[in-house]
Amino acid sequence: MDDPIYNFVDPTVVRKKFDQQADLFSDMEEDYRREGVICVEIGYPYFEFIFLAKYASLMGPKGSNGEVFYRKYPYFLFAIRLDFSNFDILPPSIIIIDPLSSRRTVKRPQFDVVIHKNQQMDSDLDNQRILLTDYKGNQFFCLRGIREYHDHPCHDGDNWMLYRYKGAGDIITILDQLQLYAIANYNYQFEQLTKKNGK
Amino acid sequence: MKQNQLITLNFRIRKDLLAIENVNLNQPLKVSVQKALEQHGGTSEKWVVMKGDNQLDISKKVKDLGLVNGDLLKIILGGGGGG
Repeated sequence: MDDPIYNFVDPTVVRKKFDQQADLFSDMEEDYRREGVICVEIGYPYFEFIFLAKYASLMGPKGSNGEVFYRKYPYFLFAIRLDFSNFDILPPSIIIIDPLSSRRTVKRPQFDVVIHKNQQMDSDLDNQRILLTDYKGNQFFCLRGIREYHDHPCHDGDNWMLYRYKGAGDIITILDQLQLYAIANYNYQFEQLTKKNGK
Repeated sequence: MKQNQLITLNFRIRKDLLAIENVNLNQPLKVSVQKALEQHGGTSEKWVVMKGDNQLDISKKVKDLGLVNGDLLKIILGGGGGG
């Protein structure tokens, strides 16, 4: 059972800000869809998205020379609910959901969502996993601009208010980052794998 | 013939769209990205460039990345996190 959300910001304000986010997204919805980010529901104050990679790492039959062929088709990575309750006094929240039931799921995607060293934007850290599990067993994205990141005691020195006016919680910023760290990295890994296998 | 080697690249930085004209195909992509960031107001943040759902190596030449006139690239900045 999800924790109930206590709404303390004037709903008129939140509604207006939510509509702004919806307008931002609608301008780019077709581009995102082509790139594997598909909006499946918009229901104030949240959006639900499915993330698909272009390829699956499923092996097809071997060729006559022993080379491995891969079948290419959209591959489900995960689905999220992006919740703008109390936005933007609070940053938006992301939970991983089952796309069929729209309920929170504890089932982990079958790959790690990672910020690679060459993608680190504010440090020279090594690869960092960003899809983590909290003490309740729920998965969350440990990503700046996301409520779960700023609520985490490890990040109490990195307050949301430092980023609120920089657009860190905008739907576009969040989708772009998840697309980079999840879809682009998955595609890259898959391409490296296919190169290694000579096809 | 030199004119044929100049193209226009479009960049999206968050919600803002910018066009960088006269991009030389033989220049590293990084040059055009820097121009786009300057037009956007400059930033001290690090950034990553994507075309569609793929990250681009900005040290490579524009032509080697297969970019053509009118392509739309995304500059993603300000991210961070993990633990």
